[in-house]
Amino acid sequence: MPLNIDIQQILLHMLNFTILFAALYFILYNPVKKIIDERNVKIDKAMADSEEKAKKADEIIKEYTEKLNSLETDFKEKFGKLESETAAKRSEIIAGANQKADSIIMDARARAQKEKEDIIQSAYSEIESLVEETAAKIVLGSTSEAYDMFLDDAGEGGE
Amino acid sequence: MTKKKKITSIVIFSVIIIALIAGIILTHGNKSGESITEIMTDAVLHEKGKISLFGIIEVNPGLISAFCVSGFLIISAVIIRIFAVPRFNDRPGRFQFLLEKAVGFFTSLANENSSVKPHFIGGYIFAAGIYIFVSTLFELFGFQAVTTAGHSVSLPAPLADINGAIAMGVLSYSVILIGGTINGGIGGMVNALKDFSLPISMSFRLFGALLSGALVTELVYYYAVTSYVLPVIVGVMFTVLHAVIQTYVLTMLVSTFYGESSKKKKIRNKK
Repeated sequence: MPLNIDIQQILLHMLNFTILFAALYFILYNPVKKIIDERNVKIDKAMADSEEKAKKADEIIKEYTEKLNSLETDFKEKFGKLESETAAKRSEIIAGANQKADSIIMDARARAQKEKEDIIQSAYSEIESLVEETAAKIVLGSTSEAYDMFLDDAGEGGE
Repeated sequence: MTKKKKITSIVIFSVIIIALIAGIILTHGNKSGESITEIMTDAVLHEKGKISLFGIIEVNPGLISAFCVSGFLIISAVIIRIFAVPRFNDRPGRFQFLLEKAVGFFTSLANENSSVKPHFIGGYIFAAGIYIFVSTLFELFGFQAVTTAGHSVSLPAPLADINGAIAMGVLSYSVILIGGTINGGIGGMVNALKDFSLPISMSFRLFGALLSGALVTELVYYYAVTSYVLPVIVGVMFTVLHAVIQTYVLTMLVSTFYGESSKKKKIRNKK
């Protein structure tokens, strides 16, 4: 054969490589591939687990955020309500207080007016009685005595 | 001038003079032994340097190299399987990482190119890749064998023997053809048969690539003047580069053609 090609030797080479292929395939390639595949499965599982956990954590965060938001809304709502109630009560109290103060002032004024009127009335009645006494004295006694009596009476009344 | 400097100068001059004398002697040329034509013809054809295989038949040294490489690889695989693989764990050490990297490389090459039975073709290209790589590096060790004529020859790379390269090419083509027929049916077989030149191109690519390295190294060794330092660079460069390149080329070609020939049935099934 040209180029020293020898069919028998080619077959021997093929036999040699076939045996080598079988040996390497079963002894080395398959076990190592199995180890790699098992580890990849483990890694994939761990990745899937971590993704699931991350997803769950996200869901929990979302849930808590929603709860927090609703609580915040509730709080704001209640606070607003309370604030308006407080404002209403405050204004009510203030109005009551003002009304009371007004009535007190009115009472005080009325009392003061009455007292003033009473004083004036008593002053009038006193003047009236003095005038009557004076007139009587004038009629009954001398004028000087009448003046003295008037002045004495007036001095006592002023004290 | 100090004593130390004197000694240094004498040593330098002595080395230069010895190198010049060696150069003068070596450039005289090789005028005895085999001619370069004979050496290179023998490196290509192995017609003279036959080795007896157990006294039954006379074979090329390449076949002995192939047996040595296969024996070494099988024994190594058995040792690794018994002592190393059971200790492998989820946190790989250096050796486990290296082995997993090799297996992972060929597996991913198979997966990328073939969607049908990538596990089988991954195993095949793993074995072929390891065999080509180790057998190409094998010639660097220069193991000696005795020919039937009583001469000593350095065992070459198994694939530098035309018979070894043809065997590898034909086997790889057979895997593609059988894989195509099983997975792709008649269409897959026809698809594989269309590339009938594939075994020839695969065989001669391997043979040519590895032989070119061997021939250049022989050429460099033949002349005394180039047989110092240079063969180390040339030999290592050709051998290592060929080991890497040919491993990649053959495994990639096999996985690609296997994927091509096995693809058709899947497309039909999808339809």
